[in-house]
Amino acid sequence: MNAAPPALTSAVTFAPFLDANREPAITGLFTAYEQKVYAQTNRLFWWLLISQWVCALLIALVWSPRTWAGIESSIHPHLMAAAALGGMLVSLPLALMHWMPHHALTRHSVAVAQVGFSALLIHLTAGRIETHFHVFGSLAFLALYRDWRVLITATLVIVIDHLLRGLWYPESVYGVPLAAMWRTVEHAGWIIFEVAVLVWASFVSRREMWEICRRQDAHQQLLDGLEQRVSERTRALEKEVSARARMTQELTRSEDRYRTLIGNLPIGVFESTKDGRVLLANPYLLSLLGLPADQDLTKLNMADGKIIQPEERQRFWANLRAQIHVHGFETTLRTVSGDLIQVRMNARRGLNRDGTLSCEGTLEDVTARKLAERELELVHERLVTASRQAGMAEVATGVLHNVGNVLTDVNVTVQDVLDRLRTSQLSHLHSIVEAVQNERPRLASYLTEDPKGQQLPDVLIQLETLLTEENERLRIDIENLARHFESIRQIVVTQQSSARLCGLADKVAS
Amino acid sequence: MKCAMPCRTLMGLVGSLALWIFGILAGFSLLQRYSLTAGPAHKADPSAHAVLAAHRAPGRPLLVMAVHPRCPCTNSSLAELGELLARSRGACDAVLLQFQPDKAKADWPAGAATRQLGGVNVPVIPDRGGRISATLGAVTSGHAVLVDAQGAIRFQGGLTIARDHRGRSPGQDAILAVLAGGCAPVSSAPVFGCTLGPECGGEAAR
Repeated sequence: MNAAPPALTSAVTFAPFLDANREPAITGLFTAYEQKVYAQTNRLFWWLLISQWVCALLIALVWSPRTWAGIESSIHPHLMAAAALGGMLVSLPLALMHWMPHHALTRHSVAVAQVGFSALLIHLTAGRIETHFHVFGSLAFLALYRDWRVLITATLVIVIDHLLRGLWYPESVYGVPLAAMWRTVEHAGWIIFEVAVLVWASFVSRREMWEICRRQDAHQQLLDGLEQRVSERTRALEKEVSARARMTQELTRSEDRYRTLIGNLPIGVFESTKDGRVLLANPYLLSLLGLPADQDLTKLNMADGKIIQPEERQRFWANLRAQIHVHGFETTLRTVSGDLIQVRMNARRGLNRDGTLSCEGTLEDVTARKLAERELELVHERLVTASRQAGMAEVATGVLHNVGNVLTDVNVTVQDVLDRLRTSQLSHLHSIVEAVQNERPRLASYLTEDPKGQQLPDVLIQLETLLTEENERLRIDIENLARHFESIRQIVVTQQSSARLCGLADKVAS
Repeated sequence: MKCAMPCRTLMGLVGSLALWIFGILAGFSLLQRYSLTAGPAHKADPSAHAVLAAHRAPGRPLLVMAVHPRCPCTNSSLAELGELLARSRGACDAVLLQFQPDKAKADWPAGAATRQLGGVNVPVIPDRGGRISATLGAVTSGHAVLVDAQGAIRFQGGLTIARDHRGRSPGQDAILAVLAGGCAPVSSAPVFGCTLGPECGGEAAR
């Protein structure tokens, strides 16, 4: 019920130019401001109407409590009018103030009631001219609504009242029995004079209200912007704080991991200054040097020559001066028990906070590795020797095998030649030569007459054919032998070449 | 029908507003009617001249007003009488007849011997039972009777325009005109006030 329709509650009659984007917000602020003004003025009139009612009752009680007829009296109609009519006047405005505080009807009812109280009080005070000032005061009070229409309503009620009274009973309002119309105009003129000023004041006031709302909106926008920026910045800071917290946790975990890693590394980790102070040494390094894990590092100094020889240390720092990183620097350290250990260091040059040179790096014990390498070299040497001998044996075996094969062929060929020589036809030539020697004196007759002599030329022709074939076979066998010997030479050359390629050449070969 | 507020509420509101306006109009109408209702008035008896002569100085007009001491309207009548005397600049004398019941209670106002009205000391004559007033035909408080210098009654009636309502009235104009030596536009005017009681015939007049 309190939420009145905007068309009736809003008495916006002068809305200055508004930014279209901000118009709803500014109009909302104006409506709230307007309703605040209405509520404040309602509260004023709530007390004012009740006070006027009480005042009317008091006036009636004091001025005309009873009416008389001789010695008989009764309640004066003015007292009844003050009670009843006054109550009637305040009833609706007070009810509307309660149920519809922002409704225009409430304000108009207040205007009617206020003007009605003017009439009632004028009646109750015997038409005193001073009481007529109540009308002007009432209009001024009604102007507090800053709603010109309320003033118009009050003015209309007053003017209509004067018109009707002026027409029907002018004495009651003008004090004369015959009142010309100009008296009504005159009275109305004074009212309109005041109302005109009050209406103008209402317009000015409403314009100022718009201005205030526009400024309030601008301030609110600024405030909202600031709040938004603060909110965004707060969120960003929260994110940053959260990120930093996560980073801190990560750093803590990383540091823990680093410490655990450094503590459990199977190599030594160190940080040292050029003057020999030890800033960091992990447990492995300490144990490597034969020191306890809780060794006070401030009592260690690498420059005293107990752990590392001064010349070795100078060589190490010379390398670091030459290059920032040193890799694979090998040296010998002396443990607390006096044992010598071979170490290999990787280090990086750095600067201390005080500007002095420092280095940090890792160190690994390579003593066992060095021993192993030495043993490996010995084994390698033995292996090379054995390999060489095995190679030589293998070469000899190959040569002998191949030469053997060729010699077998040679032997076969030689046996074949020997067989040919044993079965040669050359013996038949000796028989013919012997027969010729025997028949030399009669050689002619023998060749012509003797049957054997007559066969001798044929025998010689056959023998010559056989010997020629035999000679050809022998030539072939000799060529085979020559080829076999060439093969043997090739085998030897080939083996010598192979031995040279494999590094197995031996002076023996030469 | 679509209403900005529930129709029943709107109708109730309009009804209440109409009833309220009607009540106010009715109240003011009744009040106005009461204010404009004049009291009874009678013609003066022949014996009134003797009564008036007893209080009138020779050769001076006399204005006599009967009042009820407890009537609220008496204040307005006396105020108008004072204004009239002031405006007449001593052109006439005045006498108040103050109603005194025969069996007055102890708290009944005794009244002073004189009252200062418009700068003039006006004698106050107690009027037992309102008999003198009845002789003058005055049965309503505020009833005035003007006797000119020759002893003739020139005006009878009230000096106010309504009950307990001040303001310039026809009665005043008539009296001032007589005192100025002219003719009164009216010789009588309605009297607005309480009745002086049945003893003086008020009940009968009513």
